[in-house]
Amino acid sequence: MNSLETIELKEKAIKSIKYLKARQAGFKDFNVLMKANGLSASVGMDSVINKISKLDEEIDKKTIKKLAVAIDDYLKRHIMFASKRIYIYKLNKSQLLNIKSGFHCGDYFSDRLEKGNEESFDITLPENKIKKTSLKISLSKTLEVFYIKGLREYINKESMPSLIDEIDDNDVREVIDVFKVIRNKITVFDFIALDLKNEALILGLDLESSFIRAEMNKSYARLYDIFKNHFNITNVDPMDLRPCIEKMEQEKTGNILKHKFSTDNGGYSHTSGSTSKKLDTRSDKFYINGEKNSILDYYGTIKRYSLQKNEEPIISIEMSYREYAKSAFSKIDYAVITDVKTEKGFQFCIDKIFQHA
Amino acid sequence: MNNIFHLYIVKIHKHTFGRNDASEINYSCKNILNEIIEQNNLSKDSIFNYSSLFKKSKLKEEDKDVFIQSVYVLAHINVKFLEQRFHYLDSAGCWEEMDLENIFQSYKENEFYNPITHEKINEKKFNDIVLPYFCPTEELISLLKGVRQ
Repeated sequence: MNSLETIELKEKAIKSIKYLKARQAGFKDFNVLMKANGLSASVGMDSVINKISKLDEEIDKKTIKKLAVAIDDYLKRHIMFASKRIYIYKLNKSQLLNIKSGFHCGDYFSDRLEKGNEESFDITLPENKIKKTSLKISLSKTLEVFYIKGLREYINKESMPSLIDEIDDNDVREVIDVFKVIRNKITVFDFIALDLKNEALILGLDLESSFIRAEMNKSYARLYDIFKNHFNITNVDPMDLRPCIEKMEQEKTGNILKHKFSTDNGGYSHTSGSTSKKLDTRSDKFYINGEKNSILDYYGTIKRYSLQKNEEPIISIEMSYREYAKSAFSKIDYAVITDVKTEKGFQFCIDKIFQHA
Repeated sequence: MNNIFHLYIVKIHKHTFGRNDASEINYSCKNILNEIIEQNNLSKDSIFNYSSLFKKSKLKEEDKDVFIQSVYVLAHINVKFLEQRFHYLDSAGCWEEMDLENIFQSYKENEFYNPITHEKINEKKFNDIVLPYFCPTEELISLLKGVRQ
């Protein structure tokens, strides 16, 4: 490897970390990974970037290479698994196989979906809203995922106290804060998964926790629009996941991080949660005593499961009190899966939802 | 139980010996010790926040300084009754544990980041996002286990 290649590798690694930063990837695991591959402990993503950019192309060639490989793999897994909102459609095997061949034959390209880089996750920011095909990955023998590259925006506000003096005020009005409103654009990788084992089509949206609900709903509508006619799902509703909630509450394994329920025929509503991922809200004495003497009607749960190798995926299935109270038959269209690290963990979450649905 | 209580009382007295506020701190530590040791569902995952510890201390609001000092004493390496940890509320609404080393390093280098957005922030903002909590030390849990068996 010559130094030109090392420079490229370094630049790519930095670009990847910047993207991980935008994806709001957790720093704890990443720091451990960077330490294992030759960097000293850092306080944040920016300090990792600083350290990498200071590495010498000649002297630190080996370290750069090691880091680049590790970052590449970490990013790939983050794109594949981190914080996904999923909608499940029950379709039979032949329908699923048809869709699969449709993907392979390029049947779904249109003015809204173009062929993109299908060899790797290309994180460059798209110039427009046209979605592009990306990697196709078999997570297991029966679960195939087609990633779709797109663009999502989020808005945040930042206080700008230094600008306060520049704004006119008068005797009765005083400017006490100035905000700048920023529109951030970010590359996302949504996906279409074909689950032959559970006979289901899954529409997945990337980075659920980074975006407001309305933005995610809009993204879902867009993704659905591209494929609805091709997949013949216009007459099929997403699977209602509401039945999962009560069964997940009853299931002993795993721990409930948060749940929502109403008591006294809907007279009261409660949301309770544990302040640590290790605790189970169901072990709270207050809950145990209350649960004995009332009939609880659950409308939301966030549950964590412990798998091998420190993988602890979290499945959230919930609705707002308003949605719950609106009708006796309010449905829950989607689940959110976070903290998944491996193919097995992803498969586990899907299977778990089917077990309880 | 009594033995465990005394073991820690001795450690606390030794640690606070000679301080002006020793008697107040000992009083409040004793109250906290009592309540925590008697709590029957205590485990290594148990959590105490400042508010719960303050109630256990039986101190009044004007004794704020004594309270803070008591908590420091209980978490001090010489006493090892409580362990201080840090966590923050992540964007999915769950409490995420912070790496202790990372926090020490942030203070040492005076460089703080928002753990969710990774933006550089000042110490004050950092302290608003990353919150301390306390849990029983492993030593305490294993002592209690020995007594209960």
